[in-house]
Amino acid sequence: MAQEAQQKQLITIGIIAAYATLAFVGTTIIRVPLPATGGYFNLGDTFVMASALLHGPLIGGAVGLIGPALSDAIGFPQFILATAVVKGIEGVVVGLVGAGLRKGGRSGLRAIMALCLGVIILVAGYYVFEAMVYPALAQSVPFYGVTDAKAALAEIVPNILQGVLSAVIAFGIWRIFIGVRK
Amino acid sequence: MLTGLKWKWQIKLLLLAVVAFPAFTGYPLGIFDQPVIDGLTRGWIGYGIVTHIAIGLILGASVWAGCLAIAVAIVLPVVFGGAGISYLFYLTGLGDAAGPAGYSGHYVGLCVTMLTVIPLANGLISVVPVHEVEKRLLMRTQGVYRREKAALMFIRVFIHIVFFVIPNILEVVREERFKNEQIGDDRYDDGYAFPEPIPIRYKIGRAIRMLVYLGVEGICASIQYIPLWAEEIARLPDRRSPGKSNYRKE
Repeated sequence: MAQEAQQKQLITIGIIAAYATLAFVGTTIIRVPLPATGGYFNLGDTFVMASALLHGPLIGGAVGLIGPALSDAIGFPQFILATAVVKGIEGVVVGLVGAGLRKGGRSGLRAIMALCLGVIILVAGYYVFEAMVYPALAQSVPFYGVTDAKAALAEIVPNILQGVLSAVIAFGIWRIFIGVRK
Repeated sequence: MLTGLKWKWQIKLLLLAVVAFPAFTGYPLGIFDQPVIDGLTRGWIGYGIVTHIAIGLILGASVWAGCLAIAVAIVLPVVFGGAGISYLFYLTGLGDAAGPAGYSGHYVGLCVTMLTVIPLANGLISVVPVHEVEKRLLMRTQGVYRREKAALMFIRVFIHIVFFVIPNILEVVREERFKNEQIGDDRYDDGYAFPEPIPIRYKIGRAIRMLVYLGVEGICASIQYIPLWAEEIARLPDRRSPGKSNYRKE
């Protein structure tokens, strides 16, 4: 019995590891730089959103917290804090709103709603970090002095594009796994 | 120099962590903040040189060369792509009004930063002999802690994806991409020398479909062995911290 429980725990850890690694690879391989802030456009969010929709808020949050932040550690360490917090919350919220999906609901509308919320959190979260949190932190830790309100504003459009494209791909993945047909 | 230091991997990891400290905290690079060009300070140039020497000494020249090669492969598209996008913004009047003179320094600085940090991160990863650690845990007779079992699972999945799943998917993309791209195109080919152009929305839809299938393929290939590994790792005898034992005495 204890072994069975342990096995279930290990499966959860394995699933988190799988999606986090895919998010890490997706973020690292597909990088389009953004001139305004020195950040980059990527598709790592696809796996955060897909994991949250398919497996719920716990796994979605853990994937958002680990995967993209690991990728930021390679080349963009200043963004680790913002990425971990924003994408962690994104995973939890998408999972929470989409959690009913597995309980027989299988509603595409609910999935779309969850994904839209995820995109809003992504865009708003990065804006708050880059326009407010980082400039405030930079006063005591110069390491965080990479963005300001103007740069954060310029990154809104690329972030919306990144979020929407990731959400569309995540929705496609979810549809294939759940088997929803319109 | 060629093979690196003959020390324990834990000591090498510690040394590399010390070298990595400024890259991930900014200290003491902020002290040497005199700019060589706009966007690049003396501190980062010096730190970059020191980092590469340290990686070469600690891990050996061949590992250093591998780490550098990976870094270059990641840096080139980011830096040149970024500069290209900045130039497009400049041409459309949306970007830096000063043009290339205004943003070139930023990309040179980004290049130096990434060529310093990425080899360091690669070095930190490659210094841990993952297979050896895994083998030692699997063969340990005193049992394995739960946290070690969790780490074992995480490492196994990570290695499986990075070394097997992703290379396979990249190979599929390279070999079958053009063939897949042409599927469905014949509906626009009416037999004339200049067939009807393929609508842009169709091309976007096709690209998104391809990304969805790649995502599904990646997820399926990544999670397929997880139940099997979970069963295998869960069967390893448990090791409990002293004082936390709940085994009944016979």
